[in-house]
Amino acid sequence: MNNKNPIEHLLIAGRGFTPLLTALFLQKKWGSLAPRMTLLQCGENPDPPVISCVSSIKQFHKELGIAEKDFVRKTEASFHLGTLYQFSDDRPEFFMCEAPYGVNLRAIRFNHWYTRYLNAGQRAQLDDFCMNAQLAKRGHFAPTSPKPESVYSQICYGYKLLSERYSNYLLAQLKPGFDMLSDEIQEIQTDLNGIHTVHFSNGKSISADLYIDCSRERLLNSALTGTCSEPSKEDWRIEVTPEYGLGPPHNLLTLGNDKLIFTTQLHGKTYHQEVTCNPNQLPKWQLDPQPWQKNCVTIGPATSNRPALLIDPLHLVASSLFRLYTSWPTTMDFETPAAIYNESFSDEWSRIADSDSLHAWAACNRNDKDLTDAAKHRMRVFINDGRIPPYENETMTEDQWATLFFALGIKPKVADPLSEGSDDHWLVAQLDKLKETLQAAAQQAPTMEIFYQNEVIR
Amino acid sequence: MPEPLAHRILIVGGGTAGWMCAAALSRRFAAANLHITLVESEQIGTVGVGEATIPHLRYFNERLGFREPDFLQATNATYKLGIEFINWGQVGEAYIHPFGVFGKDFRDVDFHHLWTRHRQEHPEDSLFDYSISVLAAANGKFAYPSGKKNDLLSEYSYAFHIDASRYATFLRRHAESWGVKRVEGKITQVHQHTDTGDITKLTLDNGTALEAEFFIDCSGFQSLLLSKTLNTDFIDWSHWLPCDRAIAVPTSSDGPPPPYTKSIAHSAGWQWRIPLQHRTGNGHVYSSNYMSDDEALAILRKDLPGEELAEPRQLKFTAGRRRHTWVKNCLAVGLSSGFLEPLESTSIYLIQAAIMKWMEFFPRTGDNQVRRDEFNQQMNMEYERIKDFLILHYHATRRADSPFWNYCRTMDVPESLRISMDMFRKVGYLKPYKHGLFMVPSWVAVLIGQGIIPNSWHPAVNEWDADALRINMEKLKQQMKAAASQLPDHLTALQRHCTTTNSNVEPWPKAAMSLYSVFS
Repeated sequence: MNNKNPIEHLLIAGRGFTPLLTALFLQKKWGSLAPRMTLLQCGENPDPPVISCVSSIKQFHKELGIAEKDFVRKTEASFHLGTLYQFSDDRPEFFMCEAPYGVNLRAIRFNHWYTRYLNAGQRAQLDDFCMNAQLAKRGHFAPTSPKPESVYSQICYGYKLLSERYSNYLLAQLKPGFDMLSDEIQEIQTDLNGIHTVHFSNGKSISADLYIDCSRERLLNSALTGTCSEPSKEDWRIEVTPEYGLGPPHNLLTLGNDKLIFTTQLHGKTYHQEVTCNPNQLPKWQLDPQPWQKNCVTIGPATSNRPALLIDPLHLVASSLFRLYTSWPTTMDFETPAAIYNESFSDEWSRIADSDSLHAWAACNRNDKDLTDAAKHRMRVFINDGRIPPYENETMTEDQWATLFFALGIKPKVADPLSEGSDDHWLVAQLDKLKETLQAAAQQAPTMEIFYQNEVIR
Repeated sequence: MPEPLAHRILIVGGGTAGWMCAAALSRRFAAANLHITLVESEQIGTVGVGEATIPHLRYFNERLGFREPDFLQATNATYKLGIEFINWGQVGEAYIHPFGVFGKDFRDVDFHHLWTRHRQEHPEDSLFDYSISVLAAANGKFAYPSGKKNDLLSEYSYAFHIDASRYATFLRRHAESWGVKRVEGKITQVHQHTDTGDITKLTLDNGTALEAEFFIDCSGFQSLLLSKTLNTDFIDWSHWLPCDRAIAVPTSSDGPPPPYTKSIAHSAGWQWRIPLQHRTGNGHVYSSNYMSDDEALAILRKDLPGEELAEPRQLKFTAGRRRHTWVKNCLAVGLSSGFLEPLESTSIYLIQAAIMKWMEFFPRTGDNQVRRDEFNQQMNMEYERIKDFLILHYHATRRADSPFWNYCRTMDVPESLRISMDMFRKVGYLKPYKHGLFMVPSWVAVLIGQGIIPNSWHPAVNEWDADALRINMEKLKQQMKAAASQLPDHLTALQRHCTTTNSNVEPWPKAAMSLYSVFS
């Protein structure tokens, strides 16, 4: 009878928050069955200076036993409601976020009613119907209300925080019982099962049952695949801007001139990350389509060199960790767990690549041939009917895809046929009323600075 | 301005598919003022598919505004909590595939891992004792699922056994009151546009010509428009689903109706038993390669619950689907678009799925290519995923008592199914699909019910020592047993819910597009 965890010893390699999150997650998830863990601090620190994360982090933190107030106070994290998209041409700016845009009416999604609203000659932007957008545009903030009847229940927020503070916080959360090493890998001995032993420059060596590579250079994985990734060059520009104080509750993304420029402000500094997109070859930010090889799994920076501000790196790490837990080996035969993990990972990354290609497409020449096939498919169906085709392992919901299309100026030709026949006056009145309600509620909410002072610092 | 919707719709064929289309279109597009005509002939019988349904039908009825008591009464319906499969894994074995989940998940690990480990030391323990739906069904109990999340009595859904011809009549009454025009007649000629190949009009035996912008083929197996006129080819799955005949006969009932369907495997197929309020539907589905028609009828007659109420009727079919469901200006719904045997009561669901999806991609007067392609792709996915699940029933068997079962047990299966079965066998893993009909609980029911037990389990369940696990499993089992035993008898519940005169009728739960829950 199997009465323990088949993985008794785990080696987690890399620097920054990814190995710490990995260790903390596995400690919490496995409880008394947690394997012995060795954290090997090696390679360069791959963390961006600042992280901006989506709301899924709150659920993840709950899994880790992290209380929101404690986390926000100790990391001095600020709140993040979404990203304001600006275009280098004359397209209107758009506030992109995870929160709902409008409400479904008569069991028909709001984006169809909005299409009809536009077709009726109205001009309001889709983000006029979003609580997050209304708050962010005013620099206001309110937490999500647990009461479903409240307009504040639609609020969906994540955090902005400094990576270094986050790493320190995570380190403090880890329970004793793990080993921490900081050494250079000199040699990795492999056999048919994968990595056998990792030898260090100080003459010591470690053999583990499973290896998790969180290093940007893929220091462990390269011993199995022979491909060492060249650390991607992240183009960060940091300005000291004390006049902005805490910073607004959102980020900025500028799309155009073959560039994506991300900007976030936090605690008196402004961080810019610029990514150049070659219009003839859109970026592929995934490094490894098969991240689990034999007894070694790559997570986070070892898997992707995605710009940190494009999609929350924490979300991707959390998603990989849940996947690792779900496909955890039941014996020392890793073939089936690796197949499960890699298939699910590959599905998820295909969906992320669809979203990436759309952003790069919008920043470059808007030539459809540069889009992934699935992005093209989605766009074609959306333009034609306002629908989002179903894909497995989506990271974005149907509504979020529709919003992204609207954000990039892509609009459907027609609305849901079931919405046709209803009266334009009725529709315009309903939507105008909704817009006014959201605007009034956003106006009543405190500014982010005041909220922070009252609810976090005090 | 957007292109206008196709306005004049002609539905070919009555029966369940035809009248479900007519009712849904006339109700849901009431504001669009469509002209909907349905042509059918009283001389042509309907197949009357799908007397057993799945919970999604409740959603369809709800969208059309039907009160559940009215529907129950009109269709002589009984409740259905699942399907009992007898003799499938091995002769003498039985299990119920429930419309509900098993046990309680542990630390994000599916319950069957917990059970697999527990079973190592308690091989007599049955997974099916950890399902409220199974316990209720097996004891002839029924109640609406409670509206409280995390309550043991909320973790299931329900469907119905219905008289399909009465359902068609019920739908017809509503559809006609919502403006659908019914035309009596047999179609003698289908006219097509010489350039585009689109269908332009139909001529009836009385000389009437019926024109429309869009045609819905509900003509059953003959697939008059999609196949015979538009020559859409058929993808044959009979090498995986070898049954190609069915004999159906209604009988009187032998007692109170159980709240589940019975599927009893025989030597070259299986027999259904579907309890209605006024009779029992019976049928024998078999493979003509392995059994003669006479033998099939004799087997059916040997095991009937009551007196035969009509002459036995034979159906011939081939399992498979048309390559596309929507071709040019014609949509096929129901048997005209494909046939998957009624093993998991998917016939009416596939009708419903086609109608609901098609209403999302409703044709317009201009170019419909993109929406047609998308619709076809989504419908094909529905068929493909159901196909794998049905093949599983035949392939996951240890039966070696007849050439038919030897063939099914040893046949090559689709790669997707082979991988699913391998992964489950090795580590108890099932891919958690988001789209499709049958999800993890259904796969677990059939795999374990037919004797495929994982060789290992997720190590998270090792947190409990064997004694603690045994105590917790026993406690859960007792809680479920106690909860199920408190439910009223099926017949009592049915009589109470069926009344339409009582203004204090018990409110029925909202419907959801899920097999396992009434929560969306």
